[in-house]
Amino acid sequence: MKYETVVGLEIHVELKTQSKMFCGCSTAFGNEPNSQCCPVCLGMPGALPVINKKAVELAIKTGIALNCKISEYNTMDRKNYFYPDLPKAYQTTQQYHPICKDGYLDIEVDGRKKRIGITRIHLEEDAGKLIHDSKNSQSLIDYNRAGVPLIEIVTEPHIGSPDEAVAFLEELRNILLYLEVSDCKMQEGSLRCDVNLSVRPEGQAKLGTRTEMKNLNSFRAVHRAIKNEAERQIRIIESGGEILQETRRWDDLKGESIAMREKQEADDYRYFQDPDLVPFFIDCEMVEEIKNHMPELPAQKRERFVSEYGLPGYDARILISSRELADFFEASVKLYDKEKVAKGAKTVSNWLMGDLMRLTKELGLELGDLKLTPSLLVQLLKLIDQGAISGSIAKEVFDEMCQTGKAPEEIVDEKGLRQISDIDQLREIVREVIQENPKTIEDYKTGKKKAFGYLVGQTMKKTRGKANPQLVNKLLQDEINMLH
Amino acid sequence: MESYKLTVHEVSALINKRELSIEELLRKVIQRIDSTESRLDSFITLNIDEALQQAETLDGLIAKGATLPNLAGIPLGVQDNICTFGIRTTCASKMLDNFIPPYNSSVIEKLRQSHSIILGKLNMDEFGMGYSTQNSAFKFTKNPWDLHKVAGGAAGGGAAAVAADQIFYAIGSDMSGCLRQPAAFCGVVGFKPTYGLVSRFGLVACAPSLEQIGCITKDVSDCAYVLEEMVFYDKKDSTSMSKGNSTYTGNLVEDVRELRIGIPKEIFDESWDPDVRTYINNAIETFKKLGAQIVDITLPHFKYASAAHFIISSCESSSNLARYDGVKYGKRAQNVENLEELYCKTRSQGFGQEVKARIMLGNLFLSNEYYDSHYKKALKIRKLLKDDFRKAFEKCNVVLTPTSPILAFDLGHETDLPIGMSESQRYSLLANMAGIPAISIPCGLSQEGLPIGLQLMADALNEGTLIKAAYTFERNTDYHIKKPMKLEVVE
Amino acid sequence: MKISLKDIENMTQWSKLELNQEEKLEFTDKFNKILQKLDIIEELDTNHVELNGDKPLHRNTLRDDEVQPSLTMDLVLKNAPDTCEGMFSVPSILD
Repeated sequence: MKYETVVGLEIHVELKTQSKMFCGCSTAFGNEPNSQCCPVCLGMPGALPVINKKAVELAIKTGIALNCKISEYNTMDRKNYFYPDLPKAYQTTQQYHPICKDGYLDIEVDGRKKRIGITRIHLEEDAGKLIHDSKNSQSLIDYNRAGVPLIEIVTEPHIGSPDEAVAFLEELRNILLYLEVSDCKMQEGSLRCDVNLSVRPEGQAKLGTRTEMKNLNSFRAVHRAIKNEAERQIRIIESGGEILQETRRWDDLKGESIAMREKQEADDYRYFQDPDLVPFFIDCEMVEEIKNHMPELPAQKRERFVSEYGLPGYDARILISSRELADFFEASVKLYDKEKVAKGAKTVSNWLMGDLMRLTKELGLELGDLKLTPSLLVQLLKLIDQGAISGSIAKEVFDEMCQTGKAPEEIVDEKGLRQISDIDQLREIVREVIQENPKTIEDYKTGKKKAFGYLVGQTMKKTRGKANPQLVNKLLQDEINMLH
Repeated sequence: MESYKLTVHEVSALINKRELSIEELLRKVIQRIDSTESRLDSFITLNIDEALQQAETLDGLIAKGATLPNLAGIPLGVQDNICTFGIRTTCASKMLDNFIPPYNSSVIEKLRQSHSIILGKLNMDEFGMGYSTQNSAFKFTKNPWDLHKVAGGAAGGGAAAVAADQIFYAIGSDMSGCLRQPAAFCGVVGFKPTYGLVSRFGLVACAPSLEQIGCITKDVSDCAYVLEEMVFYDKKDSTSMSKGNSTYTGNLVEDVRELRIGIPKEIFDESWDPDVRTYINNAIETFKKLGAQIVDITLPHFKYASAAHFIISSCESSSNLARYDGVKYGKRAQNVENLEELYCKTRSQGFGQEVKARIMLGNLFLSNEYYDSHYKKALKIRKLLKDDFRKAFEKCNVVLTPTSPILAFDLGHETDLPIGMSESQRYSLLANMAGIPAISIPCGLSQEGLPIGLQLMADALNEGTLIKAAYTFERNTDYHIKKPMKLEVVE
Repeated sequence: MKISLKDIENMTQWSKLELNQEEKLEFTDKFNKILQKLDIIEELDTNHVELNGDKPLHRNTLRDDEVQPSLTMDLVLKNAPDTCEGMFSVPSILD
């Protein structure tokens, strides 16, 4: 029997605010434990919360980008449970009146478009961090993270495969980065994702029993976990077993999940509206104001790159994959050539997609870590256009430029890399090559086209790459023809 | 007369005229505490050393010619559920026996700026749950008028201390009449302002939507003076209001000719003590004679108010008291095997029976099964009751009831029903449900010599109306100057 | 409504309390008396009452996103029953 996988995601995103959700403590990451705490985020007796306006605005921004309805009437509610990382023994969240509802996000997998429904986005606060000290069989608590603002984005169960899940997450992360809503660093926990998954025989309307998977620390882990869990559930069903509704913990090292311990109490969080926080209202003006200041979103930018710069869709997709790269691209194109935008754009795109990607991968760095600027890139492109250096020399200059930030012209001069375009000087070298390779000449004459390439290579080698390639081609052809 | 027996406005005048030094005053007050405290048990913690230092500093300032604010140098007591930086704040619970707040509540911050002298932290029912201060984990406070009677609660410590001239005024919190009912039992003035008028930041509340910080004073004038210091907009409290009128003393005017006093027809029943009936009727007659108009009003949902109040306060308490888990501060049970035991043992050992009962019931009412039938329904009743008051205030500008239909009862009296379900706070809790201001003033002494309180309620933010009405009544009666003589006889 | 033993067990679990058998019976009895008193609200029909959407007297004031000084770590930990290396300590959550 064929099975269909049904996945819904719950994504927790730490918001990029300076201060916490309900108090003025800093949200900075990585400082000394318990150095960013006050009576409010420690849940001290008598302390009261006040909502951070920026957190509300960032949630609205996200809601607009994900095509949601923004709620006018909002409440904060308490989710009551005990855990050492939860100072008040309740989490302040939005159970009854979430800030955003009923949205969607379009994704594309293997050229196929799909719309994933967004059920809701709600505001809440993060918990503290627990550190396990197994030696002394104790757990230690750092409340610096307690009270950091979060949004939880809940999707409809519209995701049907690991690829779709990852495509959704990548698109979502990109949007959040564009909006400057969050850093989206999974390693630091500023983006976290839980997977709700069930399987059902293809064509069956009723959903199967679902499990919830936690501890997914990368998109790759999400991909693997979905694949693994779908297979596990199918295996159980096919062997006549029954799926238990449970929470499972993904172990990425082992590549498998384990059921988490059952909660002892009935699953009842006794939600109720937080009496310390009266309902708050979001009026149309506030939403309009935010709408008017929305940056261009990835999907819009992608379309514009195709229509405005005539880029292939593939290029556009890669360039918009980060806002930084997209901005770099546009700045470079504008500097490069104001008239011949289309041609210039493709050249810039080729450099960014080719050499830049190669270099960042080799060095394990990101664009922002390099000393490359749009101006430096354009200076380099102009040197090529002027025939001052060859394409292959340009790559060498590019690498150096990215790491030192030196002007390309300076590098070329320092290393004597200027292109040889002097016909007489080149003709001498070409002749030497022909004399030194009689066998290759024979091969070429008998129709082995590859032999020509070898001769070009030998010429370039003698000039340490500086020869003008077009000129070398032409001279070689001329000289070989003259042998007859 | 001994200086400790004076009112705030009287000593304030003496201090300003340099006829009395702050230290002199304070030493008299400390003497008074020394001679009465063992019989009253109104304090949990005394702050005498700091108070004396402060008095010396303030006298120094005055000597240099400084003019100080009205309340400067006047000793007050603070209910032990209002956080005071560096001074133990226990909420009369074993749970917080050793808790020393690392911050000041906003209202204390404000009073500190006015150079008020915090003389001590006052006894109360544990976390404010109770109506006779018999639920304190440490001691029972006695009624200065009769040491075998309760002082009322939750703020029994404050009412007893003010009535016995141990302090000039007390600040505390009122969740169901917790300031007004003890004030009535002890023959002093208790005031609960409009919800949001005084910042709750730093008040260790059980039921945040019902609780409000207010004061207990010796007379209505003092109430106006203290209120003026306490009312301000606080951005640390989301429910804080910016609309407060800050000139309450301006309402200390004898004039009730414009006043329409509404008497809800639903309140009269068999539960009233006969003396309460007599003196409330006398009070109504007094108001009439002074020119006020008496109108009949109706509060159709009055009969459901106690039940709804009980449910809402239990629910909020169950969640507000969850943070006492032995992890961050306060009590932690010893010899525990694991985390679950740490929680359960800490909370079982730290909380008294009454608090446990309220937490358990609150959790029940919020659970899936009971949420609609109890919690949600209670919220709806609260809304209906607010509507009742809205309609009532179209007909009158003040609603009059007894503060409590019964008098202070015997200590040790078994209390089988928790707070809010008590007879004695049936009328006072209405103001908490509706979020409106209410005052209790003395209006009589029973045959056995126990004070009787009269409650006046006004529409939200109409504190001025209340003060004017209460002041006028006070100026034409002498109940507020009567002192509990039994305390002196034993002395 | 009447309280069942299951209710009492849930209530103690949610409340993180431990009760001995005697206390359980005592509380059950007490709670049933209270619930009986509360039954009065059943007679009132509140279906027509709408709770949400009312603009309350207190319009919530949202706070500007500004960092304020935190407590010193000394004050953060001052009341803690048990600490270790600048952190709050509890029995292992894994046990």
